[in-house]
Amino acid sequence: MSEHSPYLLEARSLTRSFGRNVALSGLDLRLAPGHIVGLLGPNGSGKTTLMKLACGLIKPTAGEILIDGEKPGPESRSKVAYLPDTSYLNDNMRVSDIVEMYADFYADFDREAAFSLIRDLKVDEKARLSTLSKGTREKVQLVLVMSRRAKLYLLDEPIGGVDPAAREYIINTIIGNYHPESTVLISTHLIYDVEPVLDHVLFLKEGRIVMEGGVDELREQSGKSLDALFREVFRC
Amino acid sequence: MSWQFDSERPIYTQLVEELALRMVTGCYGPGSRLPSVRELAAEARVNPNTMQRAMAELEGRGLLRTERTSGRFVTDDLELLENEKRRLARVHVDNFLSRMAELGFTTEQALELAADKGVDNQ
Amino acid sequence: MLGKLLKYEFRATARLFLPIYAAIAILAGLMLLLRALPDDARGVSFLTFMVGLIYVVAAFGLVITTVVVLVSRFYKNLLGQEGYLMFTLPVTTGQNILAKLIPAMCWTIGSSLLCFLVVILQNFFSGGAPIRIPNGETAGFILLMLLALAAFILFCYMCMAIGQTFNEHKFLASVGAFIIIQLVLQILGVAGAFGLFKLGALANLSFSVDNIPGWSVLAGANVAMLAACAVFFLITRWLLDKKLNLA
Repeated sequence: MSEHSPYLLEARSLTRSFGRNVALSGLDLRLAPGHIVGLLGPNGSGKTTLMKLACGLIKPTAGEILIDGEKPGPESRSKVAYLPDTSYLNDNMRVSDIVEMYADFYADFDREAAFSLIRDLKVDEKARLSTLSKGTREKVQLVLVMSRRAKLYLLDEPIGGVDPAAREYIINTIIGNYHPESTVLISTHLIYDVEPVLDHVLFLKEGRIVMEGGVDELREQSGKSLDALFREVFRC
Repeated sequence: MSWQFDSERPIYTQLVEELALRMVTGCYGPGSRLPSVRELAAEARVNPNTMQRAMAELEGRGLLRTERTSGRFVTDDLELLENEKRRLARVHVDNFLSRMAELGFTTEQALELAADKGVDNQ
Repeated sequence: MLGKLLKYEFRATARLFLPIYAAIAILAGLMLLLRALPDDARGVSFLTFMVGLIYVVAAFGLVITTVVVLVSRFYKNLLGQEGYLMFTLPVTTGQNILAKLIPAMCWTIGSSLLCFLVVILQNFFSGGAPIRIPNGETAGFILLMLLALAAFILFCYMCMAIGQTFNEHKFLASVGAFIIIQLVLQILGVAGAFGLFKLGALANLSFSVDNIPGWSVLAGANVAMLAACAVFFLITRWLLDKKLNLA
């Protein structure tokens, strides 16, 4: 048994550099269960780096990151549902094969929920991924991730490259499948669309958190929407 | 009815207003069962915690009551609903009067204008 | 979890190999059939020649396919974008490597056997030499071959694991790593042998091969090959654990 941590994600002086380029610099962060957290920042601010560190794809240069009290590894990956910012599925596979594969590897995967969401998308289960449009493929990937009953969801730019209708679908899927014991971390630079869905935000700038807080508190204090606040913080 | 938010004010406040409005206008009738927090959050496309907070606030005012197993219900205390309706009306009236004051009308002049308008309509 | 990984890896590779295997098996059968026919007709001998030619080409194609698949599965499935899935599954990096190595070995062995299928079948049907029960030395030799195969595949994996640490031209870097490390190993090998020889001469020992029993040479080679496998595996695992650099 690992020591019990009240935080699903905890970072202490987390630093990661790539050569001379420092992507994250001394980040301290704690995420408790039951929140939808926005990780907001322009491109290159370290959002993807933080997500990759959280699922153990890369290792910290200094400091540490803990998932539910333990270092990222096979054990933590069974609790973390990660949606990368790329198309990461084998194009030759059929939609149903991929659903079965997820069901095979992740004990927390809700197979029925996944198939029902796929049907909602009007995607043919027997279709190979290579025959689907880019937007549909992104939705299928999101369905796979959100059909897990994970503790921590890491969604890297889930609404990045899709049209407004798809954005609506994606946001609905995230709320509809979120459950109160888990936490969702959504990275994006399109704040306007996700703002009402978030209850907590982190503004990331050049590898540091420059502002953090509850969405309504920030709106109350500044009298501005987060979108407007974001433009102010990141003004060039 | 659709859920619309203006961007400057906290979403929580706007949810409380919208839910209260729906209750006093009978969209959620007296004594009727409300959809679950998650359903409402999904419908309004807002954070479930924020929706939960808004409901708790309405519960605190007595407009909602929770029954442990069957969910949340709108109060069937008609007087309470009527009071809430008046409170909401009060907010609109105050807004109206302060706008009119900005335009240089006294309260009496403003009310007179409003009454004229009412007469015109009839 | 290794079992599940293997299941998906075999499934993904079988899609490529099974059709080729089937084609070669049919060609082999056809050849045996033609040989059984009386050889007087010109047409038959021409046909035998053609089928034989196609068989050789197919067998050659199989060998190439095996190498390409062995390299590309590792490169694409683990080091390409699919790596985002594979390295976030609840499995260890070691399991991910083994799940590529084991099918790669099986397919290589299968392909090699298929290349000799005609010879084997002919031998069987003509009631030729019965299959010999391998003695200890043959078994040791077969083991050495298998370990050498594993070492070679793991060496390829290691070179790709090195190549992927580069930000650009990852595949070129992998090939570069392959060539340079091979070169260094060759030089070290020659130098090591030469050094041993010198030492032996100094100590006035005679290093004649005759003095060393055959089994110990074989055992030594097996141990060395196993060590090579272990080293390549551990370096690959360390690189993929600590220095993974997915595009």
